[in-house]
Amino acid sequence: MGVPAQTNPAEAVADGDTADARTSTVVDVKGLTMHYGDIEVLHGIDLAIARGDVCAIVGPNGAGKTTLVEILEGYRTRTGGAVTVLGLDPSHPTRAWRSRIGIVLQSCEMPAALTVWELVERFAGYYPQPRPVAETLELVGLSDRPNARAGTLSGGQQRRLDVAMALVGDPDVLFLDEPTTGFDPSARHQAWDVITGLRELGKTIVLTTHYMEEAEALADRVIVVVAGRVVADGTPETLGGRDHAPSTIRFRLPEGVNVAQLPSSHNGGFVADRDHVTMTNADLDDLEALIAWCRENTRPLPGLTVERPSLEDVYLELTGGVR
Amino acid sequence: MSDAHLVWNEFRYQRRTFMRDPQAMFFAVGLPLLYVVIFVSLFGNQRIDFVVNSQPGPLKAHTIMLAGFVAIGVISATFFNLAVDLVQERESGILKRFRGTPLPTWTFIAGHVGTATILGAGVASALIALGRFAYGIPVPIGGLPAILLALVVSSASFCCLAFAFTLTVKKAGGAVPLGTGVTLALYFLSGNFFIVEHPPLILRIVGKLFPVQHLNNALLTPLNPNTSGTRIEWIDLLVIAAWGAGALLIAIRSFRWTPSDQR
Repeated sequence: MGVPAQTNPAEAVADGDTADARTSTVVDVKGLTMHYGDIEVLHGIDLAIARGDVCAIVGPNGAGKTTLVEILEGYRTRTGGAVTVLGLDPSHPTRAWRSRIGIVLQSCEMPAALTVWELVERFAGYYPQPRPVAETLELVGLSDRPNARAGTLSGGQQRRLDVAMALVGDPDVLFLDEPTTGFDPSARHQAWDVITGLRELGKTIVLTTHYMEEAEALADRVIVVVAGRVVADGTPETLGGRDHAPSTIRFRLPEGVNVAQLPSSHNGGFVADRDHVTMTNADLDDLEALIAWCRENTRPLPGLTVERPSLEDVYLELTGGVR
Repeated sequence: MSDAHLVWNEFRYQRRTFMRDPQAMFFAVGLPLLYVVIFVSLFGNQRIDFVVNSQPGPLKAHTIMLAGFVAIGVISATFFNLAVDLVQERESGILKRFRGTPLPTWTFIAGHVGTATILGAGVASALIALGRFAYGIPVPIGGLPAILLALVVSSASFCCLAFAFTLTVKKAGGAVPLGTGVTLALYFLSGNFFIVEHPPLILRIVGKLFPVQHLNNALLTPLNPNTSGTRIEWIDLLVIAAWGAGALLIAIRSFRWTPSDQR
């Protein structure tokens, strides 16, 4: 077996050469800045996204999420810093590079007069190795409406058509800018199923969203952008130290037990709340003490829950309560 | 898929889009045909006793009207329709969407321009056929190459003007009223609807300055049964081409693909 020749991984990925290069970083951003006139909207963003990751970029309105994503997509030219996507600077996009990128914009109407099949087939013609149209429609759940004109589709179906048009080129990286904004809960869950399907195909997905539930359901990784800066970056389970954060212990008070009888704690102990008792800022010692008390007194703990802060709690704390 | 195939593909889908849009069909095809039917039926047989644009006489009104309405048909297809389409596609994010694909920009533009040009040629042919066979307006065979040349030059130039015109409109809903206002004003000022013996100086200046009257004249000469030779109005074609070239330069420098509120 020969030794592989040394190559610049970025170039190799751009040319789609080696299998090794295909495991490398897909999005690499260092010190990214962006000005609109005198106003700086991105202040030195650093991030790297690996192949196959599903990465959610979250942040309040005006945080710079769409600007960041549109720089990665090649729509906007940054003011400073270094950016590569699939090994190429997106401010100088090539046709070959574009054929490996799929984009779903935050808002885009469809040419209303063309049918679902015609639009996806039209886009398929732009790519060197497109996915079959029928298979793409199946993937997004539109295989039952190939002859419907785009203008007659519901909002959720139009969004799925939009995803189909982004997918038909079989891209390596897919950018989804607020893919479910304005959807009803049912349409949102359908869209999640589509994105989950894409993850299973091994696509690298970068999505922006306002919904923490969406980020938690879909993303391997969440990046929080506030006022043009990355303020947190981690998995949904660990973001902002969520995995080490104090927990809340809650259960129904057993019959014949007084709150004062429960084990005390260095952080204030249990507080009665109607028929429940709650301890916030609880740690493992508190939980162990409670369980020991149960065993000692042979008492059950009906409705016991031990919860870390939700992703939404962490997000609100990171963004100062701004959505 | 080769670039030539891509252009064909774009042309095919854009033609299909147009054919399914009754409003666009009416403005581009129905309205010029309606103009011919109404104006030629009412005033077509009037004999013009004065000299129009230095044309040799005698001329009947229907010949002048046919040239003017063919010009309107071409301008509607290549300028008005294209400009309205481009603005609406830009403001609704469709142009931006296409910009994010590997489709080469020139093939997208060629698809649009090809659709507009073929449409313009089709409307011009239909108008000339209507005039010739329904109203007996003479169409000299020797003038056909000059008509074809005028159609080619004007289609290319008015397509370029459409791309430049999109820069003046910021909202999707603004394209139709502004485009209608500009074209209607130019049709009136250039004598497409009325034949006036002594137009005021300002009208003559405006007429000479803008390309519409030059297109009228480039079409009237080959339709005029009193003319001979190649019947090509080189000066008029040059003025039209100069407008097209200027618009092309502006469009290359400043054409926008993204909606106005996202810049």
